[in-house]
Amino acid sequence: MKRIMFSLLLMLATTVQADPVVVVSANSSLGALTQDEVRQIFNGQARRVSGVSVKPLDLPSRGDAREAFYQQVLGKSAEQMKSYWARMIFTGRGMPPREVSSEQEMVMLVGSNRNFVGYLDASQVTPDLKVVYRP
Amino acid sequence: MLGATLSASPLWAQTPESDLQQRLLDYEQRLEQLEKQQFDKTLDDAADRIRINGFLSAGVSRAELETTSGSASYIDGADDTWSHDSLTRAGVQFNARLSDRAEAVVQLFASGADEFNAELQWAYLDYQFSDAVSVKAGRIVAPFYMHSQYIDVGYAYPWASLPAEVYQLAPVKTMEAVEASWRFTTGPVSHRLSGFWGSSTVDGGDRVANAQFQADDLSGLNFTSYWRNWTLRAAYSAADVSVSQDDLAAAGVPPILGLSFDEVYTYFAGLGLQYDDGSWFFSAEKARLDFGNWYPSSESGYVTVGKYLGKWMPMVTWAEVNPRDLDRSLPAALNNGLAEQQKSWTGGLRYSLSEAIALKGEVSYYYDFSDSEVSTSGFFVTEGAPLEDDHATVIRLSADLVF
Repeated sequence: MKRIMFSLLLMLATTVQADPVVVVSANSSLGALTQDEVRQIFNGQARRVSGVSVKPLDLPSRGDAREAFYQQVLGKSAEQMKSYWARMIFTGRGMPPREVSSEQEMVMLVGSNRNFVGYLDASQVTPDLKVVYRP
Repeated sequence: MLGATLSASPLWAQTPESDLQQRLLDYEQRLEQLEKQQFDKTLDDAADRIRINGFLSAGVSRAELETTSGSASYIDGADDTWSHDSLTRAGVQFNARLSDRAEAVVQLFASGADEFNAELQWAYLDYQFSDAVSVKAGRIVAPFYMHSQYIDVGYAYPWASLPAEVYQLAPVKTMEAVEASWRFTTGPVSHRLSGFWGSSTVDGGDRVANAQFQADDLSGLNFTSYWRNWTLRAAYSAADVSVSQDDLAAAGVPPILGLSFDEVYTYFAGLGLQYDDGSWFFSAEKARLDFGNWYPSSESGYVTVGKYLGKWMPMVTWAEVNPRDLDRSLPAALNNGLAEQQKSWTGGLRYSLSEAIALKGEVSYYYDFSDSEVSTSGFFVTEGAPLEDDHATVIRLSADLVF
Protein backbone atom coordinates (compact mmCIF):
# COMPACT_ATOMS: atom_id res chain seq x y z
CA MET A 1 0.00 0.00 0.00
CA LYS A 2 2.77 2.35 0.99
CA ARG A 3 4.54 1.57 -2.26
CA ILE A 4 1.39 2.36 -4.28
CA MET A 5 1.01 5.64 -2.45
CA PHE A 6 4.63 6.45 -3.16
CA SER A 7 4.39 5.69 -6.88
CA LEU A 8 1.16 7.71 -7.08
CA LEU A 9 2.96 10.64 -5.49
CA LEU A 10 5.83 10.18 -7.90
CA MET A 11 3.41 10.17 -10.86
CA LEU A 12 1.74 13.30 -9.55
CA ALA A 13 5.13 14.96 -9.15
CA THR A 14 6.14 14.14 -12.73
CA THR A 15 2.90 15.51 -14.19
CA VAL A 16 3.20 18.72 -12.21
CA GLN A 17 6.85 19.07 -13.19
CA ALA A 18 6.24 18.68 -16.95
CA ASP A 19 8.46 21.50 -18.14
CA PRO A 20 7.66 22.29 -21.79
CA VAL A 21 9.91 24.62 -23.76
CA VAL A 22 9.36 26.00 -27.28
CA VAL A 23 12.00 24.94 -29.80
CA VAL A 24 13.09 25.74 -33.35
CA SER A 25 15.92 24.41 -35.49
CA ALA A 26 19.39 25.41 -34.29
CA ASN A 27 19.84 26.93 -37.79
CA SER A 28 16.75 29.12 -37.51
CA SER A 29 17.28 32.88 -37.47
CA LEU A 30 14.55 33.24 -34.84
CA GLY A 31 15.69 34.55 -31.49
CA ALA A 32 13.79 34.48 -28.21
CA LEU A 33 10.00 34.66 -28.60
CA THR A 34 7.58 36.45 -26.30
CA GLN A 35 4.59 34.67 -24.77
CA ASP A 36 2.28 36.67 -27.07
CA GLU A 37 4.21 35.49 -30.14
CA VAL A 38 4.07 31.86 -29.00
CA ARG A 39 0.31 32.18 -28.43
CA GLN A 40 -0.19 33.76 -31.85
CA ILE A 41 1.82 30.98 -33.54
CA PHE A 42 -0.05 28.15 -31.83
CA ASN A 43 -3.55 29.55 -32.28
CA GLY A 44 -2.86 30.23 -35.96
CA GLN A 45 -3.09 34.04 -35.81
CA ALA A 46 0.52 34.62 -36.88
CA ARG A 47 2.10 32.78 -39.79
CA ARG A 48 5.20 34.95 -39.85
CA VAL A 49 7.29 36.12 -36.91
CA SER A 50 10.19 38.59 -37.30
CA GLY A 51 10.06 38.00 -41.05
CA VAL A 52 10.33 34.21 -40.72
CA SER A 53 7.49 32.01 -41.94
CA VAL A 54 6.47 29.70 -39.07
CA LYS A 55 4.66 26.35 -39.02
CA PRO A 56 3.64 25.07 -35.58
CA LEU A 57 3.73 21.35 -34.73
CA ASP A 58 1.75 19.62 -31.98
CA LEU A 59 2.72 16.63 -29.87
CA PRO A 60 0.18 13.77 -29.87
CA SER A 61 -3.04 14.58 -28.00
CA ARG A 62 -3.52 13.20 -24.49
CA GLY A 63 0.18 13.61 -23.73
CA ASP A 64 1.35 15.35 -20.55
CA ALA A 65 3.72 17.70 -22.37
CA ARG A 66 0.98 18.91 -24.71
CA GLU A 67 -1.49 19.46 -21.86
CA ALA A 68 1.16 21.31 -19.86
CA PHE A 69 2.16 23.47 -22.83
CA TYR A 70 -1.36 24.66 -23.61
CA GLN A 71 -2.23 25.11 -19.96
CA GLN A 72 0.91 27.12 -19.16
CA VAL A 73 1.22 29.20 -22.32
CA LEU A 74 -2.34 29.70 -23.60
CA GLY A 75 -4.18 28.94 -20.35
CA LYS A 76 -6.48 26.51 -22.18
CA SER A 77 -7.44 22.88 -21.68
CA ALA A 78 -7.51 20.31 -24.50
CA GLU A 79 -11.32 20.70 -24.81
CA GLN A 80 -11.07 24.48 -24.95
CA MET A 81 -8.50 24.28 -27.76
CA LYS A 82 -10.68 21.75 -29.60
CA SER A 83 -13.62 24.13 -29.43
CA TYR A 84 -11.38 27.00 -30.62
CA TRP A 85 -10.23 24.97 -33.62
CA ALA A 86 -13.82 23.96 -34.44
CA ARG A 87 -14.53 27.70 -34.83
CA MET A 88 -11.53 28.11 -37.15
CA ILE A 89 -11.92 24.94 -39.26
CA PHE A 90 -15.63 25.29 -40.04
CA THR A 91 -15.30 28.94 -41.02
CA GLY A 92 -12.22 28.42 -43.19
CA ARG A 93 -10.01 30.58 -40.98
CA GLY A 94 -7.36 27.99 -40.22
CA MET A 95 -6.33 24.46 -39.39
CA PRO A 96 -4.78 23.27 -36.13
CA PRO A 97 -1.01 22.62 -36.01
CA ARG A 98 0.03 19.37 -37.66
CA GLU A 99 0.32 16.60 -35.10
CA VAL A 100 3.54 14.58 -34.95
CA SER A 101 3.48 10.94 -33.87
CA SER A 102 6.06 11.14 -31.09
CA GLU A 103 8.61 13.29 -29.25
CA GLN A 104 11.28 11.66 -31.42
CA GLU A 105 9.53 12.84 -34.60
CA MET A 106 9.19 16.33 -33.11
CA VAL A 107 12.97 16.47 -32.49
CA MET A 108 13.69 15.15 -35.99
CA LEU A 109 11.29 17.50 -37.83
CA VAL A 110 12.08 20.71 -35.95
CA GLY A 111 15.80 19.96 -36.24
CA SER A 112 15.58 19.51 -40.00
CA ASN A 113 13.34 22.41 -41.07
CA ARG A 114 13.84 26.07 -40.14
CA ASN A 115 10.13 26.88 -40.42
CA PHE A 116 8.85 24.44 -37.83
CA VAL A 117 8.13 25.57 -34.29
CA GLY A 118 7.51 22.87 -31.71
CA TYR A 119 7.53 22.25 -28.00
CA LEU A 120 9.07 19.53 -25.89
CA ASP A 121 9.87 18.68 -22.36
CA ALA A 122 13.09 20.56 -21.54
CA SER A 123 14.86 17.25 -20.83
CA GLN A 124 14.43 16.17 -24.48
CA VAL A 125 16.09 19.13 -26.18
CA THR A 126 18.99 18.03 -28.44
CA PRO A 127 21.89 20.07 -29.92
CA ASP A 128 19.94 20.30 -33.24
CA LEU A 129 17.36 22.45 -31.47
CA LYS A 130 17.27 25.93 -30.05
CA VAL A 131 15.04 26.89 -27.13
CA VAL A 132 13.22 30.15 -27.97
CA TYR A 133 10.70 30.31 -25.13
CA ARG A 134 10.39 28.99 -21.58
CA PRO A 135 7.02 29.49 -19.85
CA MET B 1 24.21 -11.81 -32.36
CA LEU B 2 25.71 -8.96 -34.34
CA GLY B 3 29.16 -9.87 -33.07
CA ALA B 4 28.64 -13.48 -34.18
CA THR B 5 27.72 -12.38 -37.71
CA LEU B 6 30.64 -10.01 -37.90
CA SER B 7 33.20 -12.56 -36.72
CA ALA B 8 31.78 -15.14 -39.13
CA SER B 9 32.70 -12.92 -42.09
CA PRO B 10 36.36 -13.19 -43.02
CA LEU B 11 36.27 -9.73 -44.65
CA TRP B 12 35.04 -8.08 -41.47
CA ALA B 13 37.47 -10.08 -39.42
CA GLN B 14 40.40 -8.54 -41.30
CA THR B 15 39.14 -4.96 -40.98
CA PRO B 16 40.83 -2.89 -38.28
CA GLU B 17 38.53 -1.93 -35.41
CA SER B 18 38.66 1.85 -36.04
CA ASP B 19 37.60 1.33 -39.66
CA LEU B 20 34.68 -0.77 -38.50
CA GLN B 21 33.56 1.96 -36.12
CA GLN B 22 33.75 4.48 -38.95
CA ARG B 23 31.60 2.26 -41.17
CA LEU B 24 29.03 1.81 -38.40
CA LEU B 25 28.88 5.55 -37.94
CA ASP B 26 28.34 6.02 -41.67
CA TYR B 27 25.53 3.48 -41.66
CA GLU B 28 23.94 5.17 -38.65
CA GLN B 29 24.03 8.51 -40.46
CA ARG B 30 22.50 7.03 -43.60
CA LEU B 31 19.79 5.42 -41.53
CA GLU B 32 19.01 8.74 -39.86
CA GLN B 33 18.91 10.40 -43.26
CA LEU B 34 16.43 7.80 -44.51
CA GLU B 35 14.28 8.22 -41.40
CA LYS B 36 14.24 11.96 -41.96
CA GLN B 37 13.17 11.52 -45.58
CA GLN B 38 10.45 9.17 -44.41
CA PHE B 39 9.17 11.80 -41.93
CA ASP B 40 9.29 14.52 -44.56
CA LYS B 41 7.37 12.29 -46.93
CA THR B 42 4.61 11.45 -44.42
CA LEU B 43 4.33 15.13 -43.66
CA ASP B 44 3.99 16.07 -47.32
CA ASP B 45 1.42 13.34 -47.84
CA ALA B 46 -0.59 14.64 -44.90
CA ALA B 47 -0.48 18.14 -46.37
CA ASP B 48 -1.57 16.94 -49.78
CA ARG B 49 -4.45 14.72 -48.91
CA ILE B 50 -8.05 15.79 -48.60
CA ARG B 51 -8.92 16.66 -45.05
CA ILE B 52 -12.34 15.74 -43.68
CA ASN B 53 -13.86 17.29 -40.56
CA GLY B 54 -17.39 17.02 -39.29
CA PHE B 55 -19.78 18.15 -36.58
CA LEU B 56 -22.99 16.84 -35.17
CA SER B 57 -25.53 18.07 -32.64
CA ALA B 58 -28.39 15.97 -31.36
CA GLY B 59 -30.91 17.75 -29.20
CA VAL B 60 -34.37 17.84 -27.75
CA SER B 61 -36.37 20.90 -26.77
CA ARG B 62 -39.71 21.79 -25.30
CA ALA B 63 -41.62 25.03 -24.70
CA GLU B 64 -43.89 25.79 -21.75
CA LEU B 65 -46.47 28.27 -22.98
CA GLU B 66 -50.18 29.04 -22.87
CA THR B 67 -52.47 29.80 -25.79
CA THR B 68 -56.27 29.90 -25.70
CA SER B 69 -56.54 28.25 -29.11
CA GLY B 70 -54.26 27.05 -31.88
CA SER B 71 -50.59 26.27 -31.33
CA ALA B 72 -47.37 28.14 -30.74
CA SER B 73 -43.67 27.38 -30.99
CA TYR B 74 -40.38 29.20 -30.52
CA ILE B 75 -38.47 30.37 -33.59
CA ASP B 76 -36.04 27.44 -33.23
CA GLY B 77 -38.95 24.97 -33.38
CA ALA B 78 -39.50 24.22 -29.66
CA ASP B 79 -43.20 23.58 -28.95
CA ASP B 80 -45.26 22.05 -26.13
CA THR B 81 -44.10 18.48 -26.78
CA TRP B 82 -40.51 17.19 -26.57
CA SER B 83 -39.23 17.45 -30.11
CA HIS B 84 -35.99 16.04 -31.48
CA ASP B 85 -35.86 17.84 -34.77
CA SER B 86 -35.21 21.47 -34.04
CA LEU B 87 -31.73 21.19 -32.52
CA THR B 88 -30.51 18.16 -34.46
CA ARG B 89 -28.09 18.88 -37.27
CA ALA B 90 -24.86 17.64 -38.83
CA GLY B 91 -22.24 18.72 -41.32
CA VAL B 92 -19.21 17.31 -43.08
CA GLN B 93 -16.47 19.48 -44.52
CA PHE B 94 -13.92 18.51 -47.15
CA ASN B 95 -10.77 20.61 -47.57
CA ALA B 96 -8.88 19.73 -50.71
CA ARG B 97 -5.49 21.31 -51.27
CA LEU B 98 -5.04 22.16 -54.96
CA SER B 99 -1.62 23.80 -54.72
CA ASP B 100 0.57 25.56 -52.17
CA ARG B 101 -1.76 28.51 -52.29
CA ALA B 102 -5.16 27.23 -53.41
CA GLU B 103 -7.69 25.15 -51.52
CA ALA B 104 -11.23 24.04 -52.34
CA VAL B 105 -13.63 23.69 -49.42
CA VAL B 106 -17.08 22.10 -49.47
CA GLN B 107 -19.35 21.75 -46.44
CA LEU B 108 -22.49 19.62 -46.65
CA PHE B 109 -25.08 20.39 -44.01
CA ALA B 110 -28.43 18.91 -43.00
CA SER B 111 -30.72 19.84 -40.14
CA GLY B 112 -33.93 18.59 -38.55
CA ALA B 113 -35.36 22.09 -38.94
CA ASP B 114 -35.06 21.58 -42.71
CA GLU B 115 -36.21 17.93 -42.73
CA PHE B 116 -32.59 16.79 -43.17
CA ASN B 117 -32.37 17.88 -46.78
CA ALA B 118 -28.65 18.10 -47.39
CA GLU B 119 -27.46 21.44 -48.72
CA LEU B 120 -24.16 23.02 -49.58
CA GLN B 121 -23.59 25.48 -46.79
CA TRP B 122 -20.05 26.41 -47.79
CA ALA B 123 -18.48 25.78 -51.21
CA TYR B 124 -15.60 28.05 -52.05
CA LEU B 125 -12.17 28.37 -53.50
CA ASP B 126 -9.61 29.89 -51.15
CA TYR B 127 -6.53 31.50 -52.62
CA GLN B 128 -3.67 32.53 -50.35
CA PHE B 129 -1.86 35.51 -51.88
CA SER B 130 0.59 35.68 -48.99
CA ASP B 131 0.83 34.67 -45.32
CA ALA B 132 -1.40 37.66 -44.61
CA VAL B 133 -3.88 37.98 -47.48
CA SER B 134 -6.39 35.43 -48.73
CA VAL B 135 -9.47 35.53 -50.92
CA LYS B 136 -12.48 33.21 -50.87
CA ALA B 137 -14.97 33.02 -53.71
CA GLY B 138 -18.16 30.96 -53.82
CA ARG B 139 -20.86 30.12 -51.32
CA ILE B 140 -20.03 31.26 -47.80
CA VAL B 141 -21.93 31.88 -44.57
CA ALA B 142 -22.48 35.59 -43.92
CA PRO B 143 -20.23 36.94 -41.13
CA PHE B 144 -22.74 39.41 -39.64
CA TYR B 145 -22.17 38.76 -35.93
CA MET B 146 -19.42 37.26 -33.78
CA HIS B 147 -20.59 33.62 -33.91
CA SER B 148 -22.66 33.74 -37.14
CA GLN B 149 -20.33 31.68 -39.28
CA TYR B 150 -20.36 28.63 -36.98
CA ILE B 151 -23.92 28.91 -35.65
CA ASP B 152 -24.55 25.25 -36.59
CA VAL B 153 -21.39 23.88 -34.95
CA GLY B 154 -22.68 23.49 -31.40
CA TYR B 155 -19.32 22.25 -30.13
CA ALA B 156 -17.74 25.58 -31.09
CA TYR B 157 -19.59 27.59 -28.40
CA PRO B 158 -20.81 26.99 -24.85
CA TRP B 159 -24.54 27.77 -25.35
CA ALA B 160 -26.98 25.02 -26.35
CA SER B 161 -28.46 27.60 -28.72
CA LEU B 162 -27.10 31.08 -29.51
CA PRO B 163 -29.27 33.99 -28.24
CA ALA B 164 -32.11 34.34 -30.79
CA GLU B 165 -32.42 38.07 -30.04
CA VAL B 166 -29.17 38.61 -31.97
CA TYR B 167 -28.73 35.47 -34.07
CA GLN B 168 -32.29 35.07 -35.40
CA LEU B 169 -32.79 38.77 -36.07
CA ALA B 170 -31.75 38.53 -39.72
CA PRO B 171 -32.13 34.93 -40.86
CA VAL B 172 -29.48 35.41 -43.54
CA LYS B 173 -27.17 32.45 -43.63
CA THR B 174 -25.45 31.66 -46.86
CA MET B 175 -24.56 34.05 -49.63
CA GLU B 176 -22.76 33.85 -52.95
CA ALA B 177 -19.84 36.17 -52.48
CA VAL B 178 -16.19 37.07 -52.73
CA GLU B 179 -14.43 37.69 -49.42
CA ALA B 180 -10.93 39.08 -48.96
CA SER B 181 -9.24 38.96 -45.59
CA TRP B 182 -6.06 40.47 -44.27
CA ARG B 183 -4.31 39.35 -41.12
CA PHE B 184 -1.74 41.51 -39.38
CA THR B 185 -0.29 42.09 -35.94
CA THR B 186 0.55 45.25 -34.04
CA GLY B 187 2.81 44.21 -31.18
CA PRO B 188 0.92 41.81 -28.91
CA VAL B 189 -2.42 42.42 -30.70
CA SER B 190 -3.34 40.47 -33.82
CA HIS B 191 -6.06 41.59 -36.21
CA ARG B 192 -8.19 40.28 -39.03
CA LEU B 193 -9.89 42.66 -41.44
CA SER B 194 -12.23 41.23 -44.00
CA GLY B 195 -14.54 42.60 -46.63
CA PHE B 196 -17.11 40.80 -48.78
CA TRP B 197 -19.45 41.49 -51.67
CA GLY B 198 -22.20 39.23 -52.99
CA SER B 199 -25.91 38.49 -52.95
CA SER B 200 -28.38 36.25 -51.17
CA THR B 201 -32.03 35.26 -51.07
CA VAL B 202 -33.23 35.08 -47.49
CA ASP B 203 -36.21 33.11 -46.25
CA GLY B 204 -37.82 35.31 -43.58
CA GLY B 205 -39.14 32.25 -41.72
CA ASP B 206 -42.51 31.12 -40.38
CA ARG B 207 -43.33 34.38 -38.68
CA VAL B 208 -43.58 36.22 -42.00
CA ALA B 209 -45.09 33.29 -43.97
CA ASN B 210 -41.66 32.47 -45.43
CA ALA B 211 -41.49 35.73 -47.38
CA GLN B 212 -38.38 35.82 -49.62
CA PHE B 213 -36.08 38.79 -49.02
CA GLN B 214 -33.81 39.27 -52.02
CA ALA B 215 -30.56 40.95 -50.88
CA ASP B 216 -28.50 42.41 -53.73
CA ASP B 217 -25.14 44.13 -53.46
CA LEU B 218 -24.75 42.51 -50.07
CA SER B 219 -21.44 43.83 -48.83
CA GLY B 220 -19.71 44.35 -45.54
CA LEU B 221 -16.59 44.91 -43.53
CA ASN B 222 -15.64 43.27 -40.30
CA PHE B 223 -12.69 43.85 -38.07
CA THR B 224 -11.59 41.53 -35.28
CA SER B 225 -8.75 42.11 -32.84
CA TYR B 226 -7.28 39.51 -30.51
CA TRP B 227 -5.23 40.44 -27.46
CA ARG B 228 -4.38 37.67 -25.03
CA ASN B 229 -7.76 36.42 -23.79
CA TRP B 230 -9.78 39.25 -25.31
CA THR B 231 -11.53 39.40 -28.68
CA LEU B 232 -13.14 42.58 -29.98
CA ARG B 233 -15.19 42.56 -33.15
CA ALA B 234 -16.95 45.27 -35.12
CA ALA B 235 -18.97 44.61 -38.26
CA TYR B 236 -21.10 46.56 -40.68
CA SER B 237 -22.92 44.95 -43.60
CA ALA B 238 -25.48 46.42 -45.98
CA ALA B 239 -27.67 45.35 -48.91
CA ASP B 240 -30.41 46.50 -51.24
CA VAL B 241 -33.34 44.37 -50.15
CA SER B 242 -36.48 43.63 -52.15
CA VAL B 243 -39.64 41.65 -51.31
CA SER B 244 -42.31 40.84 -53.90
CA GLN B 245 -45.84 42.23 -53.43
CA ASP B 246 -47.24 38.71 -53.11
CA ASP B 247 -44.81 37.78 -50.37
CA LEU B 248 -45.53 41.05 -48.55
CA ALA B 249 -49.25 40.31 -48.62
CA ALA B 250 -48.63 36.78 -47.32
CA ALA B 251 -46.48 38.21 -44.51
CA GLY B 252 -49.49 40.22 -43.31
CA VAL B 253 -49.03 43.55 -45.06
CA PRO B 254 -52.50 44.37 -46.51
CA PRO B 255 -52.13 45.39 -50.20
CA ILE B 256 -54.65 48.16 -49.55
CA LEU B 257 -51.98 50.11 -47.64
CA GLY B 258 -50.09 50.48 -50.91
CA LEU B 259 -46.74 49.65 -49.29
CA SER B 260 -43.90 48.26 -51.33
CA PHE B 261 -40.43 46.90 -50.53
CA ASP B 262 -38.14 47.58 -53.43
CA GLU B 263 -34.35 47.88 -53.22
CA VAL B 264 -34.46 49.20 -49.69
CA TYR B 265 -31.07 50.07 -48.15
CA THR B 266 -30.77 47.74 -45.17
CA TYR B 267 -27.86 47.43 -42.78
CA PHE B 268 -26.71 45.06 -40.06
CA ALA B 269 -24.25 46.43 -37.53
CA GLY B 270 -22.69 44.51 -34.69
CA LEU B 271 -20.20 45.10 -31.91
CA GLY B 272 -18.92 42.19 -29.84
CA LEU B 273 -16.53 41.64 -26.96
CA GLN B 274 -15.39 38.29 -25.64
CA TYR B 275 -13.08 37.18 -22.84
CA ASP B 276 -11.96 33.60 -22.26
CA ASP B 277 -9.00 32.83 -20.03
CA GLY B 278 -9.82 29.16 -19.62
CA SER B 279 -11.27 29.89 -16.19
CA TRP B 280 -13.93 32.54 -16.90
CA PHE B 281 -15.96 33.09 -20.06
CA PHE B 282 -17.60 36.39 -20.92
CA SER B 283 -19.31 37.36 -24.15
CA ALA B 284 -21.41 40.42 -25.00
CA GLU B 285 -22.77 41.70 -28.29
CA LYS B 286 -24.90 44.54 -29.53
CA ALA B 287 -26.63 44.30 -32.90
CA ARG B 288 -28.81 46.49 -35.09
CA LEU B 289 -30.89 45.58 -38.11
CA ASP B 290 -32.08 48.70 -39.86
CA PHE B 291 -34.46 48.90 -42.82
CA GLY B 292 -34.42 52.25 -44.57
CA ASN B 293 -38.21 52.25 -45.02
CA TRP B 294 -41.44 51.63 -43.09
CA TYR B 295 -40.44 48.06 -42.08
CA PRO B 296 -39.69 48.00 -38.31
CA SER B 297 -35.97 48.11 -37.43
CA SER B 298 -34.56 46.35 -34.35
CA GLU B 299 -31.79 46.73 -31.83
CA SER B 300 -30.67 43.83 -29.69
CA GLY B 301 -27.92 42.51 -27.47
CA TYR B 302 -26.88 39.93 -24.92
CA VAL B 303 -24.42 39.39 -22.09
CA THR B 304 -23.19 35.94 -21.04
CA VAL B 305 -20.98 34.99 -18.11
CA GLY B 306 -19.75 31.44 -17.55
CA LYS B 307 -17.27 29.72 -15.25
CA TYR B 308 -15.15 26.71 -16.15
CA LEU B 309 -15.18 24.23 -13.24
CA GLY B 310 -13.21 21.20 -14.42
CA LYS B 311 -15.48 19.38 -16.85
CA TRP B 312 -18.46 21.55 -15.91
CA MET B 313 -19.38 25.01 -17.02
CA PRO B 314 -22.40 26.83 -15.59
CA MET B 315 -23.41 30.00 -17.39
CA VAL B 316 -26.06 32.68 -17.44
CA THR B 317 -27.24 34.88 -20.32
CA TRP B 318 -29.39 37.98 -20.46
CA ALA B 319 -30.67 39.15 -23.82
CA GLU B 320 -33.13 41.61 -25.30
CA VAL B 321 -34.45 42.90 -28.61
CA ASN B 322 -36.47 46.09 -29.10
CA PRO B 323 -38.07 47.80 -32.09
CA ARG B 324 -36.53 51.05 -33.32
CA ASP B 325 -37.98 53.87 -35.46
CA LEU B 326 -41.53 52.48 -35.69
CA ASP B 327 -43.57 54.21 -38.38
CA ARG B 328 -46.52 55.52 -36.32
CA SER B 329 -48.57 56.36 -39.41
CA LEU B 330 -48.99 52.64 -40.07
CA PRO B 331 -51.81 50.63 -38.49
CA ALA B 332 -50.77 49.40 -35.02
CA ALA B 333 -51.65 45.83 -36.04
CA LEU B 334 -49.03 45.92 -38.79
CA ASN B 335 -46.27 47.14 -36.47
CA ASN B 336 -47.33 44.56 -33.88
CA GLY B 337 -47.04 41.84 -36.47
CA LEU B 338 -43.59 42.78 -37.78
CA ALA B 339 -41.75 44.42 -34.86
CA GLU B 340 -39.43 42.40 -32.58
CA GLN B 341 -39.66 42.75 -28.83
CA GLN B 342 -38.49 40.29 -26.19
CA LYS B 343 -36.24 39.91 -23.17
CA SER B 344 -34.81 36.67 -21.79
CA TRP B 345 -32.82 35.03 -19.02
CA THR B 346 -31.08 31.75 -19.78
CA GLY B 347 -29.34 29.46 -17.33
CA GLY B 348 -27.15 26.78 -18.89
CA LEU B 349 -24.79 23.99 -17.95
CA ARG B 350 -22.14 22.42 -20.20
CA TYR B 351 -20.45 19.14 -19.38
CA SER B 352 -17.39 17.91 -21.23
CA LEU B 353 -17.96 14.17 -21.75
CA SER B 354 -14.70 13.71 -23.64
CA GLU B 355 -12.28 15.87 -25.58
CA ALA B 356 -14.67 15.99 -28.55
CA ILE B 357 -18.15 15.61 -27.01
CA ALA B 358 -20.08 18.16 -24.95
CA LEU B 359 -23.45 17.74 -23.23
CA LYS B 360 -25.53 20.86 -22.63
CA GLY B 361 -28.71 21.78 -20.85
CA GLU B 362 -30.39 25.15 -20.93
CA VAL B 363 -33.54 26.79 -19.55
CA SER B 364 -34.65 30.08 -21.12
CA TYR B 365 -37.31 32.35 -19.70
CA TYR B 366 -38.67 34.79 -22.30
CA TYR B 367 -40.74 37.82 -21.26
CA ASP B 368 -41.81 41.41 -22.00
CA PHE B 369 -43.16 40.80 -25.50
CA SER B 370 -45.54 43.74 -25.13
CA ASP B 371 -45.55 47.20 -23.62
CA SER B 372 -47.45 50.46 -24.20
CA GLU B 373 -45.70 50.94 -27.57
CA VAL B 374 -46.05 47.61 -29.27
CA SER B 375 -47.68 44.25 -28.68
CA THR B 376 -45.86 41.17 -30.05
CA SER B 377 -45.38 37.46 -29.38
CA GLY B 378 -41.61 37.80 -29.11
CA PHE B 379 -39.78 35.18 -31.15
CA PHE B 380 -42.76 32.81 -30.84
CA VAL B 381 -44.68 31.73 -33.91
CA THR B 382 -48.41 31.54 -33.18
CA GLU B 383 -51.07 29.86 -35.23
CA GLY B 384 -54.45 30.96 -33.96
CA ALA B 385 -54.68 33.00 -30.78
CA PRO B 386 -51.64 34.94 -29.49
CA LEU B 387 -49.77 33.82 -26.37
CA GLU B 388 -51.97 34.10 -23.31
CA ASP B 389 -49.17 35.33 -21.03
CA ASP B 390 -46.44 37.87 -21.59
CA HIS B 391 -43.85 35.16 -20.89
CA ALA B 392 -42.90 31.58 -21.82
CA THR B 393 -40.14 29.07 -21.04
CA VAL B 394 -38.07 26.83 -23.32
CA ILE B 395 -35.89 23.90 -22.19
CA ARG B 396 -33.13 22.53 -24.44
CA LEU B 397 -30.83 19.52 -24.06
CA SER B 398 -28.15 18.70 -26.58
CA ALA B 399 -25.07 16.63 -27.28
CA ASP B 400 -22.54 18.36 -29.51
CA LEU B 401 -19.51 16.74 -31.06
CA VAL B 402 -16.83 17.27 -33.67
CA PHE B 403 -14.80 14.70 -35.56
